[in-house]
Amino acid sequence: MAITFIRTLIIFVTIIVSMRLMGKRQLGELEPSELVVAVLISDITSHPLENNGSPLLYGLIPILTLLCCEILISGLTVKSIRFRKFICGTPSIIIEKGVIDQSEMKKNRFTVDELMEELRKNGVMDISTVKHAILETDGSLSILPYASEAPVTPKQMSLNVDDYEYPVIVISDGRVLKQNLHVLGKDEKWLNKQLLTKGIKDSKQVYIMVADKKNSIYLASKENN
Amino acid sequence: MKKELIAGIFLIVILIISIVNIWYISSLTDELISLVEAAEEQALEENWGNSAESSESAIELWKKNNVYLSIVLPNETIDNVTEALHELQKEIKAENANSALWAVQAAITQLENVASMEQANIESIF
Repeated sequence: MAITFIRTLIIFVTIIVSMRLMGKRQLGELEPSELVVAVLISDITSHPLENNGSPLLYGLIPILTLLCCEILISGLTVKSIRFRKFICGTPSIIIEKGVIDQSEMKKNRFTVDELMEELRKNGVMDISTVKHAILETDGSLSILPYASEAPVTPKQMSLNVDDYEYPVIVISDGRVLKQNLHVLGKDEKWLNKQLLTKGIKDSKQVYIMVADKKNSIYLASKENN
Repeated sequence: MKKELIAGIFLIVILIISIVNIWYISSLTDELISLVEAAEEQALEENWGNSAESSESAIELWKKNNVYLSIVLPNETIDNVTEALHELQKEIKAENANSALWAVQAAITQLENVASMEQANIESIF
Protein backbone atom coordinates (compact mmCIF):
# COMPACT_ATOMS: atom_id res chain seq x y z
CA MET A 1 0.00 0.00 0.00
CA ALA A 2 2.85 2.37 0.86
CA ILE A 3 4.41 1.62 -2.51
CA THR A 4 1.21 2.50 -4.36
CA PHE A 5 0.93 5.69 -2.33
CA ILE A 6 4.49 6.81 -3.07
CA ARG A 7 4.24 5.88 -6.76
CA THR A 8 0.98 7.81 -7.06
CA LEU A 9 2.58 10.89 -5.52
CA ILE A 10 5.56 10.69 -7.85
CA ILE A 11 3.38 10.27 -10.94
CA PHE A 12 1.04 13.02 -9.80
CA VAL A 13 3.86 15.53 -9.26
CA THR A 14 5.36 14.58 -12.62
CA ILE A 15 2.04 15.17 -14.39
CA ILE A 16 1.46 18.49 -12.67
CA VAL A 17 4.94 19.71 -13.56
CA SER A 18 4.53 18.43 -17.14
CA MET A 19 1.16 20.16 -17.61
CA ARG A 20 2.54 23.33 -16.12
CA LEU A 21 5.51 23.29 -18.45
CA MET A 22 3.24 22.67 -21.45
CA GLY A 23 1.20 25.71 -20.57
CA LYS A 24 -2.00 25.27 -18.60
CA ARG A 25 -5.20 25.85 -20.64
CA GLN A 26 -8.78 24.75 -20.30
CA LEU A 27 -9.43 21.36 -21.84
CA GLY A 28 -11.81 22.77 -24.47
CA GLU A 29 -9.18 25.19 -25.72
CA LEU A 30 -6.40 22.68 -26.33
CA GLU A 31 -4.84 22.35 -29.75
CA PRO A 32 -4.95 18.82 -31.21
CA SER A 33 -1.41 17.88 -30.19
CA GLU A 34 -2.00 19.16 -26.66
CA LEU A 35 -5.24 17.20 -26.38
CA VAL A 36 -3.50 14.04 -27.56
CA VAL A 37 -0.76 14.48 -24.98
CA ALA A 38 -3.28 15.15 -22.19
CA VAL A 39 -5.30 12.04 -23.04
CA LEU A 40 -2.20 9.86 -23.45
CA ILE A 41 -0.69 10.98 -20.17
CA SER A 42 -3.87 10.17 -18.27
CA ASP A 43 -3.94 6.67 -19.80
CA ILE A 44 -0.23 5.92 -19.47
CA THR A 45 -0.04 6.91 -15.83
CA SER A 46 -2.73 4.44 -14.82
CA HIS A 47 -0.55 1.41 -15.62
CA PRO A 48 2.26 1.83 -13.07
CA LEU A 49 -0.32 2.92 -10.53
CA GLU A 50 -2.41 -0.22 -11.02
CA ASN A 51 0.52 -2.60 -11.09
CA ASN A 52 3.24 -2.27 -8.46
CA GLY A 53 5.31 -4.88 -10.28
CA SER A 54 5.71 -2.58 -13.27
CA PRO A 55 8.74 -0.25 -13.04
CA LEU A 56 7.84 3.38 -12.33
CA LEU A 57 10.05 4.30 -15.26
CA TYR A 58 7.45 2.73 -17.57
CA GLY A 59 5.17 5.60 -16.58
CA LEU A 60 7.70 8.40 -16.09
CA ILE A 61 9.62 7.95 -19.35
CA PRO A 62 6.48 8.22 -21.56
CA ILE A 63 5.29 11.29 -19.65
CA LEU A 64 8.63 13.05 -19.98
CA THR A 65 8.95 12.03 -23.62
CA LEU A 66 5.47 13.35 -24.41
CA LEU A 67 6.24 16.55 -22.54
CA CYS A 68 9.43 17.13 -24.54
CA CYS A 69 7.66 16.35 -27.82
CA GLU A 70 4.85 18.75 -26.98
CA ILE A 71 7.29 21.54 -26.09
CA LEU A 72 9.18 20.98 -29.34
CA ILE A 73 5.98 20.93 -31.41
CA SER A 74 4.59 24.04 -29.78
CA GLY A 75 7.94 25.78 -30.30
CA LEU A 76 7.93 24.80 -33.98
CA THR A 77 4.32 25.96 -34.44
CA VAL A 78 5.39 29.39 -33.20
CA LYS A 79 8.37 29.52 -35.56
CA SER A 80 6.81 28.04 -38.72
CA ILE A 81 3.44 29.00 -40.23
CA ARG A 82 3.46 25.96 -42.48
CA PHE A 83 4.11 23.63 -39.58
CA ARG A 84 1.42 25.36 -37.57
CA LYS A 85 -1.08 24.79 -40.36
CA PHE A 86 -0.06 21.15 -40.55
CA ILE A 87 -0.44 20.54 -36.82
CA CYS A 88 -3.29 22.85 -35.88
CA GLY A 89 -5.13 23.30 -39.15
CA THR A 90 -6.68 26.58 -40.20
CA PRO A 91 -9.85 28.31 -39.01
CA SER A 92 -12.91 27.79 -41.21
CA ILE A 93 -15.52 30.40 -42.01
CA ILE A 94 -18.82 28.67 -41.38
CA ILE A 95 -21.10 31.70 -41.77
CA GLU A 96 -20.32 34.52 -44.16
CA LYS A 97 -22.61 37.56 -44.26
CA GLY A 98 -25.48 35.70 -42.68
CA VAL A 99 -25.24 32.72 -45.04
CA ILE A 100 -24.12 29.27 -43.84
CA ASP A 101 -21.32 27.77 -45.91
CA GLN A 102 -22.60 24.22 -46.23
CA SER A 103 -19.45 22.89 -47.87
CA GLU A 104 -17.35 24.13 -44.95
CA MET A 105 -19.84 22.58 -42.54
CA LYS A 106 -19.50 19.26 -44.33
CA LYS A 107 -15.73 19.52 -44.57
CA ASN A 108 -15.45 20.08 -40.81
CA ARG A 109 -18.14 17.51 -39.98
CA PHE A 110 -19.92 20.28 -38.12
CA THR A 111 -23.60 19.55 -37.79
CA VAL A 112 -26.46 22.04 -37.85
CA ASP A 113 -27.32 21.08 -34.26
CA GLU A 114 -23.78 21.88 -33.13
CA LEU A 115 -23.91 25.21 -34.97
CA MET A 116 -27.20 26.17 -33.32
CA GLU A 117 -25.84 25.16 -29.93
CA GLU A 118 -22.80 27.38 -30.34
CA LEU A 119 -24.93 30.28 -31.56
CA ARG A 120 -27.25 29.96 -28.57
CA LYS A 121 -24.29 29.87 -26.20
CA ASN A 122 -23.21 33.17 -27.73
CA GLY A 123 -26.67 34.67 -27.35
CA VAL A 124 -27.46 34.61 -31.05
CA MET A 125 -31.06 33.76 -31.93
CA ASP A 126 -31.10 34.93 -35.54
CA ILE A 127 -28.45 33.56 -37.92
CA SER A 128 -29.00 36.46 -40.32
CA THR A 129 -27.53 38.82 -37.69
CA VAL A 130 -24.19 37.01 -37.88
CA LYS A 131 -21.70 38.53 -40.29
CA HIS A 132 -18.97 35.96 -39.68
CA ALA A 133 -18.87 32.74 -37.71
CA ILE A 134 -15.47 31.12 -37.62
CA LEU A 135 -14.74 27.61 -36.49
CA GLU A 136 -11.39 27.96 -34.75
CA THR A 137 -8.64 25.33 -34.70
CA ASP A 138 -9.45 24.40 -31.10
CA GLY A 139 -13.06 23.61 -32.03
CA SER A 140 -14.67 26.74 -30.62
CA LEU A 141 -16.90 28.97 -32.72
CA SER A 142 -16.19 32.71 -32.86
CA ILE A 143 -19.24 34.82 -33.65
CA LEU A 144 -18.86 38.28 -35.20
CA PRO A 145 -22.23 40.00 -35.59
CA TYR A 146 -23.02 42.84 -37.99
CA ALA A 147 -22.07 46.19 -36.48
CA SER A 148 -25.76 47.16 -36.40
CA GLU A 149 -26.52 44.07 -34.32
CA ALA A 150 -23.66 44.47 -31.88
CA PRO A 151 -24.25 46.13 -28.50
CA VAL A 152 -23.54 49.85 -28.59
CA THR A 153 -20.44 51.15 -26.94
CA PRO A 154 -20.13 54.42 -24.96
CA LYS A 155 -17.82 55.70 -27.69
CA GLN A 156 -20.53 55.17 -30.34
CA MET A 157 -22.95 57.14 -28.17
CA SER A 158 -20.33 59.84 -27.62
CA LEU A 159 -20.48 59.26 -23.92
CA ASN A 160 -17.53 59.95 -21.67
CA VAL A 161 -17.02 57.16 -19.21
CA ASP A 162 -14.32 56.65 -16.66
CA ASP A 163 -11.99 53.88 -17.58
CA TYR A 164 -11.60 51.13 -15.02
CA GLU A 165 -8.39 50.25 -13.28
CA TYR A 166 -7.19 46.69 -12.91
CA PRO A 167 -8.37 45.30 -9.54
CA VAL A 168 -5.73 43.63 -7.40
CA ILE A 169 -6.19 41.27 -4.46
CA VAL A 170 -4.49 42.81 -1.43
CA ILE A 171 -5.78 40.43 1.27
CA SER A 172 -6.50 36.80 0.56
CA ASP A 173 -7.94 34.64 3.34
CA GLY A 174 -6.44 36.82 6.07
CA ARG A 175 -3.05 37.11 4.41
CA VAL A 176 -1.76 40.50 3.24
CA LEU A 177 -0.22 40.29 -0.23
CA LYS A 178 2.54 42.87 0.11
CA GLN A 179 3.68 42.53 -3.48
CA ASN A 180 0.20 43.44 -4.72
CA LEU A 181 0.10 46.41 -2.34
CA HIS A 182 3.35 47.55 -3.90
CA VAL A 183 1.82 47.19 -7.40
CA LEU A 184 -0.96 49.57 -6.31
CA GLY A 185 1.61 51.98 -4.96
CA LYS A 186 0.21 51.59 -1.44
CA ASP A 187 1.61 50.43 1.86
CA GLU A 188 0.39 48.72 5.02
CA LYS A 189 -0.42 52.04 6.68
CA TRP A 190 -2.88 52.80 3.91
CA LEU A 191 -4.26 49.26 4.21
CA ASN A 192 -4.81 49.51 7.98
CA LYS A 193 -6.54 52.88 7.50
CA GLN A 194 -8.91 51.36 4.94
CA LEU A 195 -9.65 48.44 7.24
CA LEU A 196 -10.41 50.79 10.15
CA THR A 197 -12.91 52.75 8.02
CA LYS A 198 -14.69 49.42 7.50
CA GLY A 199 -14.60 48.67 11.21
CA ILE A 200 -11.95 45.96 10.94
CA LYS A 201 -8.98 45.97 13.30
CA ASP A 202 -6.97 43.10 11.90
CA SER A 203 -6.29 41.93 8.34
CA LYS A 204 -6.67 38.33 9.55
CA GLN A 205 -10.41 38.96 9.87
CA VAL A 206 -10.67 39.65 6.16
CA TYR A 207 -11.59 36.92 3.68
CA ILE A 208 -10.88 38.97 0.57
CA MET A 209 -10.02 42.57 -0.14
CA VAL A 210 -9.69 43.84 -3.69
CA ALA A 211 -8.52 47.35 -4.54
CA ASP A 212 -7.50 49.38 -7.56
CA LYS A 213 -5.48 52.52 -8.21
CA LYS A 214 -8.61 54.65 -7.93
CA ASN A 215 -9.05 53.44 -4.32
CA SER A 216 -12.14 51.50 -5.26
CA ILE A 217 -12.34 48.75 -2.65
CA TYR A 218 -14.26 45.51 -2.29
CA LEU A 219 -14.01 43.79 1.09
CA ALA A 220 -15.53 40.68 2.61
CA SER A 221 -14.94 39.61 6.21
CA LYS A 222 -14.54 36.04 7.28
CA GLU A 223 -17.86 34.46 8.16
CA ASN A 224 -16.84 33.17 11.57
CA ASN A 225 -15.96 36.70 12.80
CA MET B 1 13.71 28.90 -27.63
CA LYS B 2 15.46 27.95 -24.40
CA LYS B 3 12.65 25.61 -23.39
CA GLU B 4 12.65 23.91 -26.79
CA LEU B 5 16.41 23.46 -26.63
CA ILE B 6 16.18 21.89 -23.19
CA ALA B 7 13.35 19.63 -24.39
CA GLY B 8 15.39 18.54 -27.39
CA ILE B 9 18.44 17.84 -25.26
CA PHE B 10 16.33 15.93 -22.77
CA LEU B 11 14.93 13.72 -25.54
CA ILE B 12 18.44 12.99 -26.73
CA VAL B 13 19.51 12.21 -23.16
CA ILE B 14 16.59 9.78 -22.75
CA LEU B 15 17.58 8.12 -26.02
CA ILE B 16 21.22 7.81 -24.95
CA ILE B 17 20.23 6.38 -21.57
CA SER B 18 17.97 3.87 -23.33
CA ILE B 19 20.82 2.78 -25.60
CA VAL B 20 23.20 2.48 -22.65
CA ASN B 21 20.55 0.43 -20.82
CA ILE B 22 20.23 -1.94 -23.80
CA TRP B 23 23.99 -2.37 -23.89
CA TYR B 24 24.24 -2.92 -20.12
CA ILE B 25 21.41 -5.46 -19.93
CA SER B 26 22.83 -7.23 -22.96
CA SER B 27 26.32 -7.41 -21.42
CA LEU B 28 24.93 -8.57 -18.10
CA THR B 29 22.81 -11.32 -19.62
CA ASP B 30 25.73 -12.44 -21.84
CA GLU B 31 27.94 -12.73 -18.78
CA LEU B 32 25.28 -14.63 -16.87
CA ILE B 33 24.66 -16.97 -19.80
CA SER B 34 28.42 -17.65 -19.96
CA LEU B 35 28.45 -18.56 -16.27
CA VAL B 36 25.39 -20.79 -16.68
CA GLU B 37 26.93 -22.50 -19.72
CA ALA B 38 30.16 -23.00 -17.78
CA ALA B 39 28.11 -24.62 -15.01
CA GLU B 40 26.51 -26.86 -17.63
CA GLU B 41 29.87 -27.96 -19.09
CA GLN B 42 31.26 -28.66 -15.64
CA ALA B 43 28.12 -30.63 -14.73
CA LEU B 44 28.50 -32.71 -17.89
CA GLU B 45 32.10 -33.47 -16.83
CA GLU B 46 30.65 -34.35 -13.40
CA ASN B 47 32.81 -31.60 -11.91
CA TRP B 48 30.03 -30.72 -9.48
CA GLY B 49 32.14 -28.54 -7.22
CA ASN B 50 33.14 -26.12 -9.99
CA SER B 51 29.67 -26.29 -11.47
CA ALA B 52 28.17 -25.22 -8.13
CA GLU B 53 30.67 -22.36 -7.94
CA SER B 54 29.71 -21.17 -11.43
CA SER B 55 26.01 -21.22 -10.58
CA GLU B 56 26.75 -19.41 -7.31
CA SER B 57 28.70 -16.74 -9.24
CA ALA B 58 25.75 -16.30 -11.57
CA ILE B 59 23.39 -15.80 -8.63
CA GLU B 60 25.79 -13.35 -6.98
CA LEU B 61 26.14 -11.33 -10.18
CA TRP B 62 22.37 -11.21 -10.59
CA LYS B 63 21.88 -10.10 -6.97
CA LYS B 64 24.62 -7.48 -7.29
CA ASN B 65 22.62 -5.78 -10.06
CA ASN B 66 19.31 -6.13 -8.28
CA VAL B 67 18.79 -2.43 -7.54
CA TYR B 68 19.38 -1.37 -11.14
CA LEU B 69 17.32 -4.24 -12.54
CA SER B 70 14.37 -3.50 -10.28
CA ILE B 71 14.27 0.03 -11.73
CA VAL B 72 14.28 -1.05 -15.38
CA LEU B 73 12.62 -4.47 -15.41
CA PRO B 74 9.22 -5.71 -14.23
CA ASN B 75 9.32 -7.53 -10.88
CA GLU B 76 7.89 -10.65 -12.48
CA THR B 77 10.79 -10.91 -14.93
CA ILE B 78 13.35 -10.48 -12.15
CA ASP B 79 11.60 -13.10 -10.05
CA ASN B 80 11.55 -15.57 -12.96
CA VAL B 81 15.29 -15.26 -13.53
CA THR B 82 16.06 -15.48 -9.80
CA GLU B 83 13.93 -18.59 -9.54
CA ALA B 84 15.59 -20.18 -12.59
CA LEU B 85 19.09 -19.55 -11.24
CA HIS B 86 18.22 -20.96 -7.81
CA GLU B 87 16.64 -23.99 -9.43
CA LEU B 88 19.85 -24.55 -11.36
CA GLN B 89 21.91 -24.28 -8.21
CA LYS B 90 19.62 -26.72 -6.46
CA GLU B 91 19.90 -29.33 -9.23
CA ILE B 92 23.68 -28.96 -9.37
CA LYS B 93 24.00 -29.41 -5.61
CA ALA B 94 21.78 -32.49 -5.89
CA GLU B 95 24.25 -33.71 -8.59
CA ASN B 96 21.32 -34.57 -10.79
CA ALA B 97 22.68 -34.37 -14.36
CA ASN B 98 19.43 -34.49 -16.35
CA SER B 99 17.60 -32.05 -14.11
CA ALA B 100 20.63 -29.75 -14.06
CA LEU B 101 20.69 -29.64 -17.87
CA TRP B 102 17.00 -28.85 -17.95
CA ALA B 103 17.55 -26.09 -15.33
CA VAL B 104 20.40 -24.68 -17.44
CA GLN B 105 18.12 -24.38 -20.46
CA ALA B 106 15.38 -22.77 -18.37
CA ALA B 107 17.85 -20.24 -16.95
CA ILE B 108 19.29 -19.43 -20.38
CA THR B 109 15.77 -18.98 -21.80
CA GLN B 110 14.87 -16.55 -19.05
CA LEU B 111 18.10 -14.58 -19.50
CA GLU B 112 17.65 -14.42 -23.28
CA ASN B 113 14.10 -13.22 -22.65
CA VAL B 114 15.44 -10.38 -20.48
CA ALA B 115 17.93 -9.37 -23.18
CA SER B 116 15.32 -9.47 -25.97
CA MET B 117 12.81 -7.45 -23.90
CA GLU B 118 15.14 -4.47 -23.91
CA GLN B 119 16.16 -4.76 -27.56
CA ALA B 120 14.58 -2.15 -29.82
CA ASN B 121 13.60 -4.26 -32.84
CA ILE B 122 10.46 -4.73 -34.94
CA GLU B 123 9.14 -7.60 -32.84
CA SER B 124 9.49 -5.78 -29.53
CA ILE B 125 8.18 -2.44 -30.83
CA PHE B 126 5.08 -3.91 -32.48
